[in-house]
Amino acid sequence: MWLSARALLFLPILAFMALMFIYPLGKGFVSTLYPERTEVVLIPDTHKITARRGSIVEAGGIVAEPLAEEGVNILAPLEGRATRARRAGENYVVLEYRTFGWDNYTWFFSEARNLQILKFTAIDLGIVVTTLSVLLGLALTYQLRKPGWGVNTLRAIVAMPMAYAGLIAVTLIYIFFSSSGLLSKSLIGLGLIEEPIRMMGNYIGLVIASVYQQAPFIFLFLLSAMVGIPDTVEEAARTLGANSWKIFIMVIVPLILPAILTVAILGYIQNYGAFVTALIAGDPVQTKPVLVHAYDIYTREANLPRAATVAYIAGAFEMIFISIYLYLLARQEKLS
Amino acid sequence: MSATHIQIRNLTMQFGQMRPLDDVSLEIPAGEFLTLLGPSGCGKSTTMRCVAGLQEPTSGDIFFDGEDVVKRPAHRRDVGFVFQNWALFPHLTVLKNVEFGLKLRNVAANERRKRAMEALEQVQLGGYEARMPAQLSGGQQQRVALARAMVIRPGILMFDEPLSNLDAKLRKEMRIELKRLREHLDVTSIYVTHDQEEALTLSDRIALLYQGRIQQLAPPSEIYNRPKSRFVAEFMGYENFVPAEVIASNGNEIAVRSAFDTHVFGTYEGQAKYTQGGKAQIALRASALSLGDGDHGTVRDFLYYGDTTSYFLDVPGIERGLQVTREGLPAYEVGAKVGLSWGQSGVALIPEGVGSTGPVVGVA
Repeated sequence: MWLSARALLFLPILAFMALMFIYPLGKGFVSTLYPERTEVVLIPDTHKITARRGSIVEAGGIVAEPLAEEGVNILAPLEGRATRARRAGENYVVLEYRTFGWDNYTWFFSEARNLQILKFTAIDLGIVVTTLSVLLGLALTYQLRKPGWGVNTLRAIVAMPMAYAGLIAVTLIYIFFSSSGLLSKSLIGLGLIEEPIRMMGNYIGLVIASVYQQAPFIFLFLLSAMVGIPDTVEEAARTLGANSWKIFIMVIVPLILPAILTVAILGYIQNYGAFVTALIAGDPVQTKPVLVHAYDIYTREANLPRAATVAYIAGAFEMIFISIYLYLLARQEKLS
Repeated sequence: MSATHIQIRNLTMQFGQMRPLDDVSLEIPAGEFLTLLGPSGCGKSTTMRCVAGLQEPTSGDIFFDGEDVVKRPAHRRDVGFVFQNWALFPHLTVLKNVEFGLKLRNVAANERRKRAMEALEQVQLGGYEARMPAQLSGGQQQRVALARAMVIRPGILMFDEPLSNLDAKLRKEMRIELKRLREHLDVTSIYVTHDQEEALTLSDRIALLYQGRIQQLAPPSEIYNRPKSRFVAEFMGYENFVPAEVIASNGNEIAVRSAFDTHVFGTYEGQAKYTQGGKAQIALRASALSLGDGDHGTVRDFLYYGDTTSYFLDVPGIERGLQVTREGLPAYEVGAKVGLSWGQSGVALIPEGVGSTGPVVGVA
């Protein structure tokens, strides 16, 4: 049969991806949920529909019941935010909605602020946090790769931030690093500084909090790769004249390079989802990542399609990196 | 670098109540090929790893050409080590594997390549330099490991059961290969194995270890023909032990009496002391015994191996019975009465008891 099982598996995935793409394009679907009770007039040019008062309509996924005095009673209030309603005469209300188009994408790429936020997420946050997390994760993994006294406890401590929710992890970081936090207080107490250090509510705070959450994931991932290297390979290098640093650089890192690349990509993608961390540890304007931007558009401007556009573009970036990851994985499978 | 003279003094390794190494002292002259032989857990690998610097002993000293190296890290000991699982670097080609040690010694790229290629030729792997380790057979990987250890021209070359992961045929081939190579190398070699055949064919001397102590240190022919204890005898393939009483002993000969006969053994240097009236054991290889008419024992069972048949006999006064190997097809049925006799070959006189566990100081 031409439609293989694999194709059947792919179809819903492709359909879902297509929907994700189309959704931000606008909300041009107008349908009547209760046709016997609904009178809808579609005026494409003005992006408006007119409905009889007291009827229930669905416009672009919005279920609304036009009322006499108050305008439209939105039955699905969250959805309805993107749509405005006003009265039109005695018996009708007008629902304004968005139609199908590229407007939102054009808007995204024409606004400097959007691009600046995307760049910030991709580079200032993504690259910096991932690089620092990988370096820290690698160092911790190398130190804790072999069983020994207290090693398991140390491994558990390093991995701990993964055990609780992001909100708690960031709060702990905030308690420690903020101006009134333990670090500043301790340093002032010791007489090492006079003024508290401001490490939260700015870029440094966001980086610290992000690394704190990402490094454990990288540590656990690399640990499983590193413990797979036989001790004798390391010992062979040692007897051939390699000290610990040379073993790390010439043997360990090349051997786990596929794992490093994989975890770097997976860790990098996580930065596109930075939300709570950015709200608590970062600056609301200067260090706004893409997801917070989408949320702001949605809540402050009540513009779901635009928020979805931002989210979709961020998702598209993630998809690129996921594709690279899958490519590397396939290559690795082929080699092994 | 020329071959290194090694001295091991009172080497002890202790983990809680466990003592994998118990006061081992040993001297290995430059250029000697010494095999550490023994069953699993006897301390042979631990001894070698201590010499290589891969493990630190609890106490004791190790000298290379008179210099104490016990605190010197492994990467500065200048030893070549061939591992049981070969331990090739899977991310590097054969050539890069062999060049690894030279690169660390800052040997110029041209010279590095030349020497690595020579080493590969020596182990008959010319033409394989571009391959990855995963593309090689077990025997080929072992040769790469050997070339990699040799190419740095170490003063000491160590082998940790290097042939145990190979099949029987390949093991035999590699044994010949190793023998050929050792004749061309100016290096002191320490070889760890549990295979007595390997030890006998390759070594200048064999140190047989048990429970962290050296039980006997001697050249192959001596350890094979003159085991000092029952443990050594059993490990070297003596299957039968017949109790005996010493009836006379002078400087040259010892006469003992067993349930079968009176037997006379020549004395040799380093032999255990036997006094008249004392107890002893006669160790006998299964192949040393002959079967004939008589009533020394009864055939309990036999196993036919093709070229030989092994008989298991119940013999009065010998708890474990005796094992006799004869060439050819089975000639006796289960329950048959047989007579036993033996000659001079495959027979050794050993003291009573299982074996010495006291320290043996081996000095060349």
